[in-house]
Amino acid sequence: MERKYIYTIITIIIIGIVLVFPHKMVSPGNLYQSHSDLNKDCFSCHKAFSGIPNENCISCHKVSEIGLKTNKNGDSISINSNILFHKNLKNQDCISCHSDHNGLNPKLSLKKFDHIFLSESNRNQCVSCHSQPKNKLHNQVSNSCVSCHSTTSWTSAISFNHDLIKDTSKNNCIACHQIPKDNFHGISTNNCASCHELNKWKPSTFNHDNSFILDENHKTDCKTCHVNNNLKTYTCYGCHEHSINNIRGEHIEEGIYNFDNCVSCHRSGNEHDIRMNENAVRKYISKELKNNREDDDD
Amino acid sequence: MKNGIILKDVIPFILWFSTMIFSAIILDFVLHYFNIVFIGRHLGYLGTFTILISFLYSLKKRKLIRSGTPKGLLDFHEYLALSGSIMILVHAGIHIHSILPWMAVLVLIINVASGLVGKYILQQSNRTMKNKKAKLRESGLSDEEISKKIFWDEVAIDNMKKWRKIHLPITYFLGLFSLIHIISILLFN
Repeated sequence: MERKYIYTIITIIIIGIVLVFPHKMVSPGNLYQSHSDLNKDCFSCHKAFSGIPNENCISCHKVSEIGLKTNKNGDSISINSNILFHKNLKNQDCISCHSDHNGLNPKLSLKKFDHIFLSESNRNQCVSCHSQPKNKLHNQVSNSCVSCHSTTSWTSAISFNHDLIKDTSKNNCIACHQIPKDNFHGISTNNCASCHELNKWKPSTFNHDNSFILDENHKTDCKTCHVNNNLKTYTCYGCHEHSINNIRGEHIEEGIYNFDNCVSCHRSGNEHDIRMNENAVRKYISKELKNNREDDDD
Repeated sequence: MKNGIILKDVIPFILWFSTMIFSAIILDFVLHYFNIVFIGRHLGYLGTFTILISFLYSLKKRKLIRSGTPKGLLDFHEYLALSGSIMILVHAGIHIHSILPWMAVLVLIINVASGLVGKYILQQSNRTMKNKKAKLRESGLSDEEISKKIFWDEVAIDNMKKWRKIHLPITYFLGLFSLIHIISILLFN
């Protein structure tokens, strides 16, 4: 019996505290700053057991004027040429977007806007509400935002298609992409498409064989030929096989004195695969003929 | 005592209880990660309903219903109350502004702890004590010597029994806070 008595007293005390300090006890947070004067007057917005009727909001904020007269005093603050956003919403239930109870930060008092509230005709007029980004990429593409962006978020689920780029800009990769700042790309031409595809950056189709075929005898670290990882230069004297004396001896024996740029003739490790350029061959032959004539004259 | 009930029964209980809290945090994180926090709101209703169903055991204990066995309904009570509590914890999250829901969450946690004391510790501790006493008796010790040996274990068990007794009053206040919370939601929603 005594215990029941204690329970009753405590229950009454708790209910009393809730009734005396409802804001502290049950409110989900302070109101957005412009509504702070309503902080302790719950029923100025709420209707008991009936939610928050739109009429309570609209009595101060006329839907047709939101965006034109938005400040507290109802002063005209802008002449908005865009769609009158709120006027064209399918569902004009204010609290479906505005909560107001999430503290003092106005941004936090907005629930996530769902584009489903927009009518079909307005849903595709993105630029009525969003401004097109002023950057190189967006200057080159068509106005069809939905080709890349979804209505759930601006950045996620982007499926950019290079087909959207105007033809005149299609090969101008560096208008959007930066050339990687490494040795390799420093020496390459600006023709990105020769190695990279439009669908993805990696893997690239760079083929070392176009410069020099790396056969089984040449599968080695890059730095063996490209000293200090400097891809702008190379040397063939990085291994024991090709010493300067050997190379010099072999080439002079054949009457070849210009052998600084090995790959201009040797495109692989195959000693029979020598692609000396035509001018050099002509020069070599005429020189040999001249030497023979001089020997005959003697 | 050092290697007795605390090591054998209390520490596993604390670990188990922490796991329950942790699982609620993980669930809450998952809801936020996948942007499905609206499920948390529904978990409030579901959790409350689940806990209410678990009270069939209390009705049976007070002979207000005939169906079901006490043992079966107790298992039912433990399982549902625990599941419901996890749902309520996820529902509450850590973004409560006002005092009353915080108090309700606090009381809920205390209530689960007091219930678990009954389920996991007290039963097991009594068993452990019984075995310990039997072994000491077999070794030829007198009752007085046995009492000395198990003194701190008995103190621990007595405290746990007191802790279990507050399960019902705490449940009452949990119900009261929940009711005020639900009424305020219906009133202002």
